[in-house]
This record gives sequence, C-alpha cells and structure tokens, in this order.
Amino acid sequence: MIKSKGIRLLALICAVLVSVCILTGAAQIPNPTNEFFVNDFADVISASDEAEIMQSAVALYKATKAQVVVVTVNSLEGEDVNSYALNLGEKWGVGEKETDTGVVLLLSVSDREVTIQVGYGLEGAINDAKAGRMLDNYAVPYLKNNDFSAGLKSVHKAIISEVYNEFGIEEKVDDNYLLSDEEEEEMTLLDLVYFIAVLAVVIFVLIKNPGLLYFFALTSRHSRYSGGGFGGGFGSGGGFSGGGGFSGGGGSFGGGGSSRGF
Amino acid sequence: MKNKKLWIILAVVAVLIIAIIASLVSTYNGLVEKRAEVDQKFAQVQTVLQRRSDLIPNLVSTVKGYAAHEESVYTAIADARAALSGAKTPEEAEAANGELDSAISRLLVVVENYPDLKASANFTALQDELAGAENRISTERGRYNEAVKEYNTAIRKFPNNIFAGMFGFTAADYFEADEGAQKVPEVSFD
Repeated sequence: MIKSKGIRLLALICAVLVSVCILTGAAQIPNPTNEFFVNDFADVISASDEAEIMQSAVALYKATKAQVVVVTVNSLEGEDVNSYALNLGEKWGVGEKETDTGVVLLLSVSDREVTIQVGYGLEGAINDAKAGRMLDNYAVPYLKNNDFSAGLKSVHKAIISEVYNEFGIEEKVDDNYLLSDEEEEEMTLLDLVYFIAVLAVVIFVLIKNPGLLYFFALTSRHSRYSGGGFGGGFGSGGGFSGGGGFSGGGGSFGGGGSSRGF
Repeated sequence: MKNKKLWIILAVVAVLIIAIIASLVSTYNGLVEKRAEVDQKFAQVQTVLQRRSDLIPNLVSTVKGYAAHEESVYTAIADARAALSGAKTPEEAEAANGELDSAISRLLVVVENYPDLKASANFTALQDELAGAENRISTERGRYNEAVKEYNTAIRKFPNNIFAGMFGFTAADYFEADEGAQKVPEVSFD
C-alpha cells in the first residue's frame, strides 16, 4: 500500500517535471542524421536533389573542411528562424572547430521561412547582405511555388561556390557521380567490347604476320612510360556511402546570415 | 605515548589547514576565471554593438537620398551613436543601445513612406546587414548574460560568498534588452 503510494507520488513528480520542461524549454532541436550534410526532417527534398546536395557538400568538406548543412523541419515550434538555425549549428557543431567554417541552411515548411546562418569563420565570404541576396535570387523564387527541393538545391549550390571562392579553390565537378549506375555499367561494357574487338584484330594480324612482333617489341620500349590506356577508368571511386557517416567538427556561430519569409 | 597522540593531532590539523588553503586557492582561481569570462563576453557584446553602429551611416545616407527632410530622426541616430561609443559600463551601453534601437525603428518607419527606397537593392542589402547585426547582438548578449549568471551564482554560493567579499568580487550586471526596443515607435507627421 505504502509502496504503491510512493510510486504514484514519484510518477506525479516525473509528470510535472516533464511538463515543466516541455513548457519552458525552447524548441527541441533534433539530432543530425547520419548523412549530416542533408537532414530532410520535413521530407521535402527529392532523392536525386538530396544526392546532389550531399555530393557537393561532401566534396567541399573534403577539399576545405568547411561544412554546409541543409536542414528542413516542419515547424520551428514558435522559435525565431535565425536563432533556431544558430542553436542547431552550435549544438551540432557545424564547421571546423578551429576555424568555425560552417553554414546552416534551414527551411521550415509550415512557418514558410528560410535562413542561412553563417559560422564566424565564413562571415567574410558570405556577409549578411550576400546571404539575403542569395536567398532572394536562388531560393525564394522556387520556394514561393512550393518547390522546396529545387529552391534548396539552387541556393545550396550558390553557398558552396561562395565557400570555394573564399578558399581560392576551383570547384571540382564530378560528372561521374551524376550518371546513374546503369549508364556507368553500359559504358564500361561498351568499353570492354571495344577492347576485345581491338585485341582480336591485333592478335589476328599478328598471327598472319609474326614478323610484326619484333617491330612491336622495339617500339614498346619507347612507349613504356606513356601509361597503359586501359588500366584506369573502370573503378570510379567507391564514394562515401559505406562510411560511418559524418558529424560536426565543433564550429561556432555568432548570428551572421540572413532569413526570408516566402 | 602522550607524545604520539600529540603528533597525530598536529598532523590532522596540518592536513586540514592545507586542505582549506588549497580549496581557497582553487576557489579564488575559479572566480578569477569566471570574472575574466564575463569581461571577455562583454567585450564581444561591445564589438557587435559597434558593428551595428558602424552600419548606420550607410543606412542614413541611403535613406537621406530619398527623405532629406527627416532631420529629427538623423539627429537622434547621431546622438545615440555618440553615446554608444562613449559607453564604458554595461548599463551605459545598454541605455545608448536602447536609444539607437528606437532611433533605427523611427528611421525604418520613415522608409515605409518611400516604396522606391524600400524596393532598392541597396536598401535591401543594408536591411540584411542590420538584421544580421541585431542577431549578433542578441546572440552575444545571451552569451554574456549566461557568463554573468554563472559568475554571480558562483560568488553568492556558500562558502564562496565569504571569500568573494574578502577579495573584492562583486556581482556583474546583466545586459538586458531595452524595453524601449520592443515598443512600437511613434510616428509623427509634423
């Protein structure tokens, strides 16, 4: 009897504590997904756009250590869009710790607001006016028509190229990635067919004229170092899908950036 | 036999004294660190306040191109900027920043009457800069207040409150958002 009373009291205390936390706490910021660079919590980005955003963000990260993170949420739960994105950036540690080179691109679907929050280290590359202009030029025209996926992709691309500029690095466009697996397979098959055909012709000619063998042996000595044409090309890099995912580097934010309603 | 007892007592007392001194030193150092944190955060707040203040001349000159005769607004802005750059303590900075807040709001009300100005790319850029500056201020102000809270709590806790008084650690001031800043600015048509 006494025991059950105690448990009931404990349950009551827990309930009160939980409700107090819910009432007073700021908006609950979700944890990052394993992809880290794309967190489509509102599920508005198409699979192909997501792959493209992911690819360019990872390439940028590998080249510069800067992290540009895209987040979509259904609701900001009453919080200001800028401070939500800033707190998220701080909590996730977007950007490298030493240089604070992180950017958060946040879209809230029901609030119809979008923001770019810029870490301390990139405030020079993307100043507030530029962030606002980028949203106006690349995001808002699409977002107005509810094309969230295209809007985010286009402004993300603009952010990425600004960050490359800041580091003085040429953006590498890896066209291979954009081809679907199927196309890649077809191409390699076609290559293989050519290779076999050429080989067959060469062998056929050599069988007919064995004297040529001596000639090839002579010329191959000169061309030994010119690289063996068929070696590369088949094994286009395995990419990043197998790894344990990405996470924040510990970057810090000070409130730079801009936001737009649409 | 008696001698041995005395030694034990002495040893215990010595250990106690060392423990007290050690805790005093670590408390003192801890308070110094927290105080330094507060000062550093305040410097950060001043930087972002100054940042916004530095934006104002551009904003004013852009608006002036369209609305030359709003002298009272421009004067209020100039006064508030002067007060801000002269501010030394959090209270002074707070007051001057509040003045600047309300002067800027009045300026933005003026802008509402000039659709061409409002739509211009130049003004949009300045408004973004201004909004960014305000975000930075609220961020750094929050961090400063956080540091103040930590420091003030530390010096008020027992037994720190005893040493804090001895070593001259006094409570730091919070930097509150000025109430005037939230007020809707008055529009006058004279």
